[in-house]
Amino acid sequence: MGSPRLPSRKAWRLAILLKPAGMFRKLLGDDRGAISVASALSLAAVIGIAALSVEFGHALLQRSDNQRVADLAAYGGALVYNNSRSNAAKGAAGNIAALNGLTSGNATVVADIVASPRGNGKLAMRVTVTTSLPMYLARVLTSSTLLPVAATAYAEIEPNIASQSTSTALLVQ
Amino acid sequence: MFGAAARAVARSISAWGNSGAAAVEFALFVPFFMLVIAGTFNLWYLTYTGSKLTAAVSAGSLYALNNATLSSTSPSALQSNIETIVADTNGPSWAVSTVNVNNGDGTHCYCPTGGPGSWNWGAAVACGDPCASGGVAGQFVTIMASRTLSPLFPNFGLTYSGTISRSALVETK
Repeated sequence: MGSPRLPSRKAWRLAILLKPAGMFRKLLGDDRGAISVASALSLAAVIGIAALSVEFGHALLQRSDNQRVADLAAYGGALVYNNSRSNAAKGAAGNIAALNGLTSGNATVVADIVASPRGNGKLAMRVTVTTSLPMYLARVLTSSTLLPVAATAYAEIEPNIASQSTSTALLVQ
Repeated sequence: MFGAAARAVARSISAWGNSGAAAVEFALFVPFFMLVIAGTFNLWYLTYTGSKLTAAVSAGSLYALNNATLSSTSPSALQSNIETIVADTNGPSWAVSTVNVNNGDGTHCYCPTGGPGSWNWGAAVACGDPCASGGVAGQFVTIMASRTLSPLFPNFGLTYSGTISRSALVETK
């Protein structure tokens, strides 16, 4: 009896090539830890859905608040512009936003005199209010840490308002 | 003696096998599950009530904008109408509302300062004068609304329980 014969180099190569396939077959036949794998895979989806419902829901509420303040600021700014015809109206719009709780510390308020979006040749006071909400859960979906929430309002400026005794500005949108 | 008793208990548990395991797991899980459900309901109710209160204040604000001239001609009527709108928008006497039309002064203008719910009217000034805090002196209406919140599951103490409030400052002239 001689010593056992060593496998040839070719046989070794074949065994190495087939090893991953064998491991994969073994993995497919093994159901241990299945719940852990399913949980890990579904966790991102669950947190993502929670982020949509909680954080984006909060953002929708914030947008309605921002819209309310933008409406009030645009209308107030339009009133001031009717009386003064000056850029003081922009400051007045920002002041009304601040009086309604949106200061430079927690929001960005941009007021401007633009053409009315109704296309009737009149001017309008446009106010855009932007706040940023922190995101926690949504970080599984995006790398951003803040969610900007913006609302814009236009208040049309009525010409020759000094001679009118009724409405002094018109909230357009 | 104790060793025999312990062996008897171990034999007894061993004889049960897996039966009842689901019931035990369910019993352990139910309190946690109920906490999550109650917290979700309370959070939703807080958000829902806040949203309705915001809508009521917005309705009052829009009425003030559309009837701005009343702040000079009939401030008491404007105050009464806005209070009714805010209180009844979501049902009879749903909210408690307090409206102040230009500090009860239909003649002069003011430069209010402060923030939501804690405005300071200051002294009466000439309409159109620049305000020290920014903006231009005008006539304003302040609207404050509140509602007592009763959580659906108060015993859990998961969310705020008490009075929630919203407020707005509207420029009418």
